[in-house]
Amino acid sequence: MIGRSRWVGYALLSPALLAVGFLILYPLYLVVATSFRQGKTLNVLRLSELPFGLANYRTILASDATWHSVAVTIVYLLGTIGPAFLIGLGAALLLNRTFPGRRWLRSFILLPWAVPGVIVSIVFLWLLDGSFGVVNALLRQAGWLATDLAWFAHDDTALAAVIVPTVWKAYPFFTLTLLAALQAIPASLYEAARVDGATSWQRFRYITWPGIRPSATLAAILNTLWALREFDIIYLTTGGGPDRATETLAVRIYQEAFAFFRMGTASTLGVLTMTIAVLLVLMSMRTIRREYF
Amino acid sequence: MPARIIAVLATILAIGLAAPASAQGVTLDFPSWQAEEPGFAEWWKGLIGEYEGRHPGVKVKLYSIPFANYVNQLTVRFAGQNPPDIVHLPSRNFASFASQQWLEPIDDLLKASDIGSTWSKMQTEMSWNGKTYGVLLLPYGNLLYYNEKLLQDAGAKVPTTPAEWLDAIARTTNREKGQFGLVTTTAEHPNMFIDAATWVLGEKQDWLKGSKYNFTDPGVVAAMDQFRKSLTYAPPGTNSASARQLFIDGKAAFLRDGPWVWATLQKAKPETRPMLKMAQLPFPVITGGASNSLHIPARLEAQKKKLVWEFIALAASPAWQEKYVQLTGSPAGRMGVIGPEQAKKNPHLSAITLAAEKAENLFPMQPALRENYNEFATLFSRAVVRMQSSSQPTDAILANLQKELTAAIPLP
Amino acid sequence: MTRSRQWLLALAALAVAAVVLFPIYWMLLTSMLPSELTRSRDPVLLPRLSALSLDAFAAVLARKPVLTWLANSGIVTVGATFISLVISTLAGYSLSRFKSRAQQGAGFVLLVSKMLPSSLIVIPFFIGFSTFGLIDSRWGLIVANAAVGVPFATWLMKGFFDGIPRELELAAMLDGCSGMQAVWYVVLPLSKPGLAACGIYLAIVTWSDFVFARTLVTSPDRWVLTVGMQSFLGEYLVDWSSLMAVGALSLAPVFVLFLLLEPFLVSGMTQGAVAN
Repeated sequence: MIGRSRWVGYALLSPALLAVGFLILYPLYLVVATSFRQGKTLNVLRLSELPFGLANYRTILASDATWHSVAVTIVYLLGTIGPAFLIGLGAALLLNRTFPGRRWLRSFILLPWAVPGVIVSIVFLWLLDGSFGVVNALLRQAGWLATDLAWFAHDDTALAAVIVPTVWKAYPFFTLTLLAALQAIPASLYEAARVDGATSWQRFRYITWPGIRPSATLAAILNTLWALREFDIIYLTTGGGPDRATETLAVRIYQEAFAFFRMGTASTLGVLTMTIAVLLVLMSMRTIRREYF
Repeated sequence: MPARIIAVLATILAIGLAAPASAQGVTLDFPSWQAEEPGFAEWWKGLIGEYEGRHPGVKVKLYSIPFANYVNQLTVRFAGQNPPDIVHLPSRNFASFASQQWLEPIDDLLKASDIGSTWSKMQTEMSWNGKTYGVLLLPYGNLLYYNEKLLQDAGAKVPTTPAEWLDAIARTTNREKGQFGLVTTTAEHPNMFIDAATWVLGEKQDWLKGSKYNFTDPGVVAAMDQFRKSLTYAPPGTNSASARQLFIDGKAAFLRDGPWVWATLQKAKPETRPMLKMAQLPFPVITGGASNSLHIPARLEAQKKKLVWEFIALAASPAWQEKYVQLTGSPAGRMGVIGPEQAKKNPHLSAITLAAEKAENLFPMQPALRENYNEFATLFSRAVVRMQSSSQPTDAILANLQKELTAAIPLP
Repeated sequence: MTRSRQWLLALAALAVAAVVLFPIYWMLLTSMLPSELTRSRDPVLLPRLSALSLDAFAAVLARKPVLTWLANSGIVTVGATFISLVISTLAGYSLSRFKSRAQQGAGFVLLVSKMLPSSLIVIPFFIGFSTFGLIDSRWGLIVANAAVGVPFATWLMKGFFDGIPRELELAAMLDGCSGMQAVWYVVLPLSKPGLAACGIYLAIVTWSDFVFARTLVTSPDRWVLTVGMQSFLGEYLVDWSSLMAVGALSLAPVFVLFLLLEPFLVSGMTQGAVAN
């Protein structure tokens, strides 16, 4: 740039670098360092007193509980991102058209994204209450339910029961990004296709999908990373139970650290979680590169 | 225009963040789950009032953290080296905190007081590794709360044996009417251990015989089976708070809980309140334990430590111990504070005191289990959840629990 | 598109909105009905208007310092959004205009920042903030939330600045403006949709924050709404009407904000998508 040295650029960047450095890199360092400390303590400032070694990694990787949590996490991720994407795409396609009241209806359809996780948990705890919840009442009236089903307390239904509020909170993010991408596709392409006699499925497959695929992938990655860390909804509804049915890695980490006082193994699980996240990101590296810098 | 917006925002921030002039003197930070609990809140506030009167310039900041989150919150604070000044703990978790060296030993302070000779026998549970770390506030025995009208309507009588209890629970359950024979914790929670202990230890079965896990003993299995049966009459997915609420709303026939529920019964509607009564549990052995206690954080500066101890000493004084029983309806740590006229005026006090005196401690005393109580209770509660949702036989579930416990918390 | 076809689409959208917002509807209904009616085996979906009352709201406002919580949430949200916007705008501009190796690193950092489980971040934050005396202070929350929002907001702003041609700044500077003046008078006004989009995103995320608020702030007079709400859950007794009333009160401000500013969010994201 004329008359601008590179140092101006770095100067502008420095507050952000400071924020990121102190508040993201420092915890990252602490987590990795703690994972190599063996023993049971919560006194993080005295960790250097504990022996240094790989015992935590051996314990965690050999434990059935760890892989159970990984399996639960994977089911949770697929169960939330898949439906959230489909619902989000459907809503985006719908909202891309013109019709009366679109502005308000769009706001309403995006609204669940703005609801704090604490409130999502409380509302769904009430909706899915075993004895007095409205969902059970409706199912009973329709004749599909004979007994009182406590969705969050029964280990067959608990995972599905935490997936529903997560999908509810996650789909607007897809709708938002996909809508933006849809609106970037020139209408003339659709016109030309219609003139050529293409069916709506063909129009979707050859025009819409390629146009939104980069945004869709990016949104999927970001939402997956969010779901990987998602804690509030699961913790406040099931606490990871019943009988570990909803114990994702995020919940397990919390339990190891705060219920069982084992910061070392908790940090090791944290490193494991981040490794999984990195793998997921690497798997879609090419599309991200194009979307990113 | 943008400059004006920024100015407005900055002003809002400045006003909002302006720190109030710091108070002169000392403030003692005192979180507790009882800060808003009926009965207990009044006692604490009264105690604080007198304490502040005696110590001008000292303020005690009492505030509420809900019980479900309480221990976790305190754990984070201790871990971050920012503990409260007055530490109020559920006694079952005290050992884990003591083992992290987060609490101050108070043997010398206790020697100078009269607590050693006048306190309930459960005060011994405040020891860890040969030192004493706290003062017991509430030794208790579990009680049976029941709804007299629901029993009469169903033709059931107040039970005196476990079998009669199960029968009465079955009779008073009518799900179509939204009525439950028993309300108890049915959502996974460490409290399930206490519920199960009522049935198992109550029948004189011992799951920790001779300091070894004994969950496969046929007597233990049989007692757990009865417990499992009782759960089928309770609303699913309930926590202890919902259970109490349902009982107070008149929707449940029986509730097993501690003496602290008595004060809560006053919150029932006027037409429901007369129906809610209290009795002794129908077991040969009444279970109970140390409920909660006061402690001092380790490495507290000398002046604050003195102030906190004086607070604890005031709470332990005969006058305030007597008020404790009066206001909370629960047994106090100090023995013999209920005079005969008091007992006559409040018959429920005799029932509560009787339960507390007869009670056998239900919490495991092996050091390994005390130190890892959370993990023990969590593994146990998962087994209870399996009992509710699967059809596996009880002995198989308990055998599995035994295996898990032996691996997770080996006993010497 | 025919008029009737448009109405059909509107109807479809209305149906979707109704299904999706049913939980919110149920929450509002429960907060306005006495607990005998809601805690029943056959709850009524469309009760008579005469049965509705605001008693639960009055009771909750009297019993708990909900307005204090609201004020605290507001202060923290405004502060964190403002600081994060400033930092991210500067950083986004830098990444957009000064091509360097920092860019690859920046994208990587954004992704990494989204990989840390919050349970693990909490204790290092607690320790770090203790050292600076930021525990139990709203400033601490503002700083924490601002920092956490910086990566994503920077990426968003960079996208916007990419969409604004450099020629505009060049032209302004040729006309005699300094570099900063060119940015202030030319670039920033054009990126208003981007700033709005970033702002809403940051505001919503900060308003919803629970983990930091619960750990870094202990005094009840500094609690934010999410922490106050959660204190209801662990209560000695559970009263669904009050619970839903507090939920509704917590949602109202962010809902209003969202409904008013959502068009900016969409147009902002659209412009970003076009630029990329």
